[in-house]
Amino acid sequence: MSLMYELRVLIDNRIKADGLDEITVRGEIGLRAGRLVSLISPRTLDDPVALAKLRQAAKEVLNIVF
Amino acid sequence: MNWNSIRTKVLALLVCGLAAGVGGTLTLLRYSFAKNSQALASESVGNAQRLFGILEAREISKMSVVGETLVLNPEVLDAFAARDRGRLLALNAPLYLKLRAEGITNWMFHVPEPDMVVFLRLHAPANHGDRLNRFIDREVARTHSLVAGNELAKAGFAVRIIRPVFDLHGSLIGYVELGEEIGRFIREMKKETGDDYGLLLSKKFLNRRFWADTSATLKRRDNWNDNPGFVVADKTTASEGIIHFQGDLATVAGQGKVLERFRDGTSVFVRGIFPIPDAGGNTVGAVFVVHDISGVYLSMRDTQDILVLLSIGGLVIGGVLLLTLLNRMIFRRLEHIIRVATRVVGGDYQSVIQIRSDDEIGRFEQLFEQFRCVFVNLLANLTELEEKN
Repeated sequence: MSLMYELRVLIDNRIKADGLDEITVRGEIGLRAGRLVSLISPRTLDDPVALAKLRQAAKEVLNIVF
Repeated sequence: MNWNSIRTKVLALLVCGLAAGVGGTLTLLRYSFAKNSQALASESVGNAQRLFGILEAREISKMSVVGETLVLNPEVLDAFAARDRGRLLALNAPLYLKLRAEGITNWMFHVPEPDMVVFLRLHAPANHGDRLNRFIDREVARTHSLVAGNELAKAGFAVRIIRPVFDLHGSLIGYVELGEEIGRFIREMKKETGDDYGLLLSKKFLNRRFWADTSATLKRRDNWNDNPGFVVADKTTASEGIIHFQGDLATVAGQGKVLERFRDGTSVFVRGIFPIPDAGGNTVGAVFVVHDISGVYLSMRDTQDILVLLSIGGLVIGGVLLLTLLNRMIFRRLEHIIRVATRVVGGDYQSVIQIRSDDEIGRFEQLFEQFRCVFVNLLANLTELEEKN
């Protein structure tokens, strides 16, 4: 399982735990990270640049430190 | 507050514009108000001066007619030619009493030049034989025709006419002079306008001792030392406070001058002054005017207040309308596009951008909606390819 996917799972869990609007929050993170969160799968390869962007977006939107 | 937001910038611009607009309007109104107040004050002084001129012309005309009538009376001519002072006095005394009631307080007969002494004073029969040698005396002797004008003399400051008197053969037998105290004019002016006036006389043309004697005779306070350059010869109010003037009467401009605007309780007044030249053109006196401008002034002030309130109200309403319009036409639609874009990226491919108008933002909405469709189709194709693989 890639780090990218791990982070996606973390994001989905936080959305569920906090009762947030899944579509909107995923959209905000996706726009900031420059990729669709829903397309990140266990098979997604870890690209360091893409991972860094996703980390940054997750931190900004949900304050997730990964 | 997000300073990068166009809405914040527009709002800041509107607030600045509003402040500048209100400031500008206030400045303009204050300037206009000050200018109108000054014009009103100048007009007040001008009106007083015109009224004075009208009264002066009217009285000169009246005295000219009296003089003309007098020199047509053969009995008067005969008594004057015979230098019969007693008969001349007896003939004219009844008329003098009537004329005095009309304001003609000075009436003199002069013998012709070279002596040109006073032959009879109807207002002071015991005093005669003195030579006055004033400008009007010299002028009537030079021209042998009617001379009119203001003349400062021992009897006071008066408007006078002096005209030659000829016998039936056309020989000059002397001069007749009639005069009215100018102090009377200011009381008439007060009756006409309700304003207060003061008659000022330049000390340069007065004799200190004579002024003290006259004050004692008239049982009035000797006010010689009240002001450095002039004395108050007469005024229409008992108040000493109306005269506020420092300076030389000779420096007062011919068209008069507004000195100040002041408040007394709820009333607003202007003080002004205009010069009174004598027959020789010297500024020997001046009339001080205190005019109540409360009615017009307060009305102007009310109008100014209303205009300020209307301007502020108009600018605020205009600002709010502009902001509301911008909000409806631009900001809300941009927020809608951002919301849809966010939702599409978040996985809601059914969110559609509503194209609300065919304006610039509408064209952007349309373009973005087309872009959204391309993106959703591409995503669908991508998912299909992934599933096949």
